[in-house]
Amino acid sequence: MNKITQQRFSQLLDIYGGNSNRWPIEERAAALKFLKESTEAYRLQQAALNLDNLLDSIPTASPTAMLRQRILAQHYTEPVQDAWQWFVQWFIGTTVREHFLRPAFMLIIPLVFGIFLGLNLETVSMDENMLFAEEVNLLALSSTE
Amino acid sequence: MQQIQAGDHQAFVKLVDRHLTTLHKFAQHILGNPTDADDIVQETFVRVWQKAHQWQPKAKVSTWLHSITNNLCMDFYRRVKVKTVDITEVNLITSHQPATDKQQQDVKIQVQTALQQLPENQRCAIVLCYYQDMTNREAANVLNISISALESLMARGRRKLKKILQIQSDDLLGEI
Repeated sequence: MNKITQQRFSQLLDIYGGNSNRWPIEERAAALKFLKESTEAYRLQQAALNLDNLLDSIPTASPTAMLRQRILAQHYTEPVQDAWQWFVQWFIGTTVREHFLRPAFMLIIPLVFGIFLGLNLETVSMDENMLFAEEVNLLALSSTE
Repeated sequence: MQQIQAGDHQAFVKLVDRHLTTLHKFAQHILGNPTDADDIVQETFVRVWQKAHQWQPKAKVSTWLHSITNNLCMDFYRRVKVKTVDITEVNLITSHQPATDKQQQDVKIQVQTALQQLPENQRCAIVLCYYQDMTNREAANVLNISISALESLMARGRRKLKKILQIQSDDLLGEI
């Protein structure tokens, strides 16, 4: 078990609050040990718990049975997305950044392929030039009749 | 999830029953009201059914579901621009209630309003770790950020909450 510093303990309270169940599991044991040994740590924890208690007081309404029915009724009418729809969705993305980056990425692929192909064709054409030159040389040596 | 990917309706019903309450609570905390949360959760499950094939076994189902809900909440915010209630208006809203209940109710509404005043990403980080009982790793996965970024959001969010609540009433937070 690693030791925890006063500074890190304060950070834990600032981030996760005073309830030890919310502290990261890797640091919890060390933080609880530190809490037992330090009265200052205890005071800081109690202060953090004030905000936790307030946050815990926020009420929420449970979902209604009608919502469940709506969800189940709707899913029967919704078709499962096919591969083409999935590809189109993937291609255009879901965020503004993806709307630009994904099509751009897809356009770069044929560009890179074209450059690669172009570089290879250049070597082929050089070979052809050499063959052509050889052919001219041979023709030059042959008789003109 | 694999059964849902194969189009099994019964598996989908089970998934809804298992996660409906949790996701509804999450959407409510993010959006601040249950009616909008209903729409978001309904849309979440429609997406799950339609895009079940996008789920990968390495991803935890609840994390994936929270990511979808979170994205839909963010889209909703951008589309509708949710109106936040100014914390100073809270007293006017609850002034007709009996005095004993009114104080408690006031506190709850003040805290809820303060939470709604946080920036979206800070509020999401806090809601995931506080109300959804997620570990820091799970919450960071939902938001698609690192753990240190999540911790930074939470620390800033808590500081801002304290500040907002202290402006409203010194009694709420005692000596902080």
